[in-house]
Amino acid sequence: MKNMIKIVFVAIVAAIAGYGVYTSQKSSIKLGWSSIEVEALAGCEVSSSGSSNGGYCSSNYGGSGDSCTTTGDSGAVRCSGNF
Amino acid sequence: MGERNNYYRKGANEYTIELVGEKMFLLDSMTAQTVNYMQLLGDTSLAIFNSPMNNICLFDWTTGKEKLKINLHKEGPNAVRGIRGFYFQSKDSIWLYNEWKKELYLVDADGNLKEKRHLQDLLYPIAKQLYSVSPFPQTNVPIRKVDNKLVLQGMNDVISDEVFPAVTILYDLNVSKLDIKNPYPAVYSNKNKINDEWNTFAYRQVPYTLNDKKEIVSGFPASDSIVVYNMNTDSYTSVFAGYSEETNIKPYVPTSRTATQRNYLEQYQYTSILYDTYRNLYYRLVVLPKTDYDLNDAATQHKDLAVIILSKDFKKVGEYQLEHDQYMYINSFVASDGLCINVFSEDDDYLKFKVLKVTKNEK
Repeated sequence: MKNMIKIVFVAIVAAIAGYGVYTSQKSSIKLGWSSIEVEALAGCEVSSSGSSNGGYCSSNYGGSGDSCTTTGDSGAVRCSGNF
Repeated sequence: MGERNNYYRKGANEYTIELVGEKMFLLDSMTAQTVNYMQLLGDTSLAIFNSPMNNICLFDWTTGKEKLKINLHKEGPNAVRGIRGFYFQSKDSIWLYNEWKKELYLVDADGNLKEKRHLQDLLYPIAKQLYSVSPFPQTNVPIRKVDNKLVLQGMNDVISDEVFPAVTILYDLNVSKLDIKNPYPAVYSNKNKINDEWNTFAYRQVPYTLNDKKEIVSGFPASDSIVVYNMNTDSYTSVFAGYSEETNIKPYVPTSRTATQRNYLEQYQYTSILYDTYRNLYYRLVVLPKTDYDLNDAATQHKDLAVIILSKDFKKVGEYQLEHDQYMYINSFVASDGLCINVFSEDDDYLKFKVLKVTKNEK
């Protein structure tokens, strides 16, 4: 079950039609860090409806995973909230 | 100020730190060690927020064993989701904060919703304010209560020409009104570029601690100084609390995620600021720069940590670099045992802390 939690944390691309989707991460999770090879960040919810992605996904330096915040830098992956 | 004075930077060498042991907390199959919000309750319990399961797990501080779970509802009339942090007003009254919606919830020990407060309506851009703020609870940015006010801290919210960025909300529970305190200091300079030039969790998220004089002591991560806000006099004092070497922390504009990662790795960041009520000392953690890393190997990117020790009057009385490890440094707090810092546990069944004791140097 703990591995299942990890998988959820890593995230799986879910479905569509206005429902929240999670970004996927290629490399294995190392606590507190994400390899920069990942295409998108785990921990942030990304909506298939682009206009809902008003947040900014950032790494939780010194903590675990990533978080979607209401402000961020213009290069950040956009997100719709935190799962 | 004294920031260009080396003697001032070194401070007195009155205290040192030694590792006295580790504390391990046994996690069940539904609880992972990836936690961003935990609080020590008195000296008896450690409470952690288990985000995937939407519950709060309480552990016996001495034995490390789980003793209680407070399950929050995910659906129905008592549903509370998107929780970032909590505050135990009593064992049956727990404040929760949803940072995305800027909402406070009060639940009992069974997770039943007793109250809901909408802070968004009191904040910019909905309300007219001089400052823009977005609380973001983490272990080292806790939800606390002073008299009838909740202290909620984090980072700035959206910025425009009308507002200045700030980090603290004092929310009066009795009258449902708030005041915003702690604007960013001058080192953050250009307010209109603060989001681009200062990485969210490296520099804009601001840790703080409370002392026994109703003072909020904030450690802005880009600044050598800490800011002491007195709730009684509504006044600020800035005090040097920097590392022994020049830190030269600078803003930058991220051109890529690689550049963002490099900027984090190669610069200093100040992080947790903690008041030790047992020893009347402050500890300010500083994350040290790293140059020997491989961007394709996360294991080479763990940065080193040092602890700056301040007296109760904010005089620098010691500094100590910790042994290299994978520190989850936002999860740091003070117990009667000493300074506790979360570290990655190879055994995923445990939540692990290093316990550090501060001792006075013999003359």
